[in-house]
Amino acid sequence: MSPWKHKHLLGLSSLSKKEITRILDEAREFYKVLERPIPSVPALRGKTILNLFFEPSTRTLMSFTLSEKRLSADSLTFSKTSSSIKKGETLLDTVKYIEAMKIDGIVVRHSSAGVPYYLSQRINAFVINAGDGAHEHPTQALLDLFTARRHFKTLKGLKIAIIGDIKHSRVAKSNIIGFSKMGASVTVCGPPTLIPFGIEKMNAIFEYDLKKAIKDADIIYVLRIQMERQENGMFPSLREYRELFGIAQQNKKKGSIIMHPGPINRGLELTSSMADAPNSLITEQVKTGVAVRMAILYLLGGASEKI
Amino acid sequence: MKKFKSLYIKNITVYDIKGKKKSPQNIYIENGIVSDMGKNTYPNADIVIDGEDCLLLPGLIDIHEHLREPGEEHKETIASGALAALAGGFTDIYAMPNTKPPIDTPEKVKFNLMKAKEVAYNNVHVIGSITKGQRGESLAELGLMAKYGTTVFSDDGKWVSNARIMRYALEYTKMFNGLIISHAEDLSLTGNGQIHEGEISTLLGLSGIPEVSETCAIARDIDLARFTKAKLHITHISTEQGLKMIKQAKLDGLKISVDVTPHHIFFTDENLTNFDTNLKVKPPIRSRRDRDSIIRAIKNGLVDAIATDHAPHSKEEKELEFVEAPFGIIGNQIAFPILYKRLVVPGIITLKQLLKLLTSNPANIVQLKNKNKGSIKKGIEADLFIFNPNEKWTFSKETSFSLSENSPFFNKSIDGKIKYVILKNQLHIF
Ligand SMILES: [Zn+2]
Repeated sequence: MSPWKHKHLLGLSSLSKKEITRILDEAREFYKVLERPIPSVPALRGKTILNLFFEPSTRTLMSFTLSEKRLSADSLTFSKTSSSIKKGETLLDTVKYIEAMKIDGIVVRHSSAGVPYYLSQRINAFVINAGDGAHEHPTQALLDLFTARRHFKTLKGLKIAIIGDIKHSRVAKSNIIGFSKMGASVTVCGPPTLIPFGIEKMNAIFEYDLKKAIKDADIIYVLRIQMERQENGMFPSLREYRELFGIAQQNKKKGSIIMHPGPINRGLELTSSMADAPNSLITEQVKTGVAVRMAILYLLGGASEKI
Repeated sequence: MKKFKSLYIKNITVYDIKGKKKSPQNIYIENGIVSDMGKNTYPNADIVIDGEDCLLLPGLIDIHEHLREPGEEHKETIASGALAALAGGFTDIYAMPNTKPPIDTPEKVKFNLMKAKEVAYNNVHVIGSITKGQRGESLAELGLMAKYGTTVFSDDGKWVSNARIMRYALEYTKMFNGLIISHAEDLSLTGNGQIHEGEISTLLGLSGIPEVSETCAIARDIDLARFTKAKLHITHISTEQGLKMIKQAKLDGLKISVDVTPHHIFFTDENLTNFDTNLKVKPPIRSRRDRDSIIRAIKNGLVDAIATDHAPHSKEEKELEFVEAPFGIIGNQIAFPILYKRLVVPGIITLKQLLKLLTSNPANIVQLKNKNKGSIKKGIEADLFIFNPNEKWTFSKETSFSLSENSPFFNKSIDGKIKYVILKNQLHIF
């Protein structure tokens, strides 16, 4: 295999179809590792990875921490919400701090778009974007692609419908980029106030009508709705949202699946019966998340040892 | 700075708002007055400058600068900002009043004018606030400010969102033929927007500032100007749609004028893909289509003036997360060379047109007392600069006079250098 040429993983927009496939193929190997009795490998032994979480997260942080441990890396976590950071303590200070600690790689989550890019320009360590504002969440999209490919065997020709707040969702953004790069067709559906400008330029079709949007979908991808959008007046009420955009029923497409990046507002964007239905891959997404993140850490960590 | 009795510039190409003079010319300046132009030689003058390869041009005027004094002297002072402007060929500059606290009383206007006289070589004019504290709630003492120093008013940085107050401001300033400059931005539409709302803001996940944030404000202001029959100047227009409205207003005979900034001429939102906070500005750098419409409007004369909106911010503030960094770009020192290269060299407009946009037109808008702004002729006070269009230099910490560095041109090579500025009996060598 040719060496991995990107130092950082900042978003899916900078990856080619071939590179995405490479990550998914590597992840397949790690998925096998996770099924062994001792599910770990020494690939990143001696490397230090810092999880830098400026925004509250349990799932992504746990997934990364576990991935790092399964690769035998030394893993540290610095978790602080931006609001609790002391005034005057800047990102630049964080940079100096990381440089002084001789960290090999950082996994960063921040509420402000562009922070992973900012860090990648200023430090020697590799940077993995674990979600920045409404920009990108590449590891989530890669695990979604992996989950879908594992289920359907191929991504080409699949129809995915992404439902909800597209405008503020980094998950939606990375998934639109990822699925369309891999040859799937993407339809987005949600309140018009939550659909961003120029979505068609990202190769997504916009549909107001939920029924039409999901009719032919192989994957119904449901996004979490943030309560503050309603508070900001972007849609009138939660009950109206539930009625117009909540997923409460299966579509007619044979073999279709349900996905959600979590955590779910049960009974709002997705009913419990749908979330726990046999065709829901939501739990599987959690499992694949570790394999995919291991693959990414492995590629960026420049590990020499074979698994 | 050197003071001189007599200055002789030989063999130089001269341009002003009338166009190119028969060249080359010999210019003789005595006691601050252009006393001869033509073939005569003055080898015995105090100072002799050889003007070969250079252009002699009229001193420029910038009607939109932020000098940050008082309150934010770590970003800029009247002295540093005015010197940067002077090095950029601007012999008259207008300082926006959104300082901390804002310039909103005749006392503060007088104080800043006095301060400027002390520390600046060029003519620093002060713009007064439209409303007390720039809170948009009640008129500042416009009449007293007019009596004691300025007839130009703006709440720049903010739009006067209360239409009734804006109406009063337009009506009230008519009694002394004052000018209201509007920073047209409806904040309810801007929200926490960071960059132009478009495909790029979607791609970057940064909240957008929609074009309607500007155009809704312009539409209201134009209608108030129509209703009150007052003069109105819209500064730093950034949208194609806004320009269309201005065009119609002018066709309707309204007393409306408009300026654009160099950065809206140069950049499009496609330049923002690297989260560069030095391109974070209000109004935002907009789409290619908007940028092209601005250049067209310059070409066909719809745009009256170019103003820099020189807005210094410290490095510490600009080196934050994109959403935390303040809005603003500096540029008074490099505006002329970059505009010359962008607009004149490729033949989009003539040098004569560029000079009009930077001298006589803005001077008319703000009713500058010096009615010769933009002209070079015998018998007027010397207000000139010498420009070498072929000299390259780097805009950097070493060469910049501003206290701030927030410019997309910082540490970049600039084509064309302002070598000398001559203002009355002062010679400034850069
Ligand atoms: Zn402004």
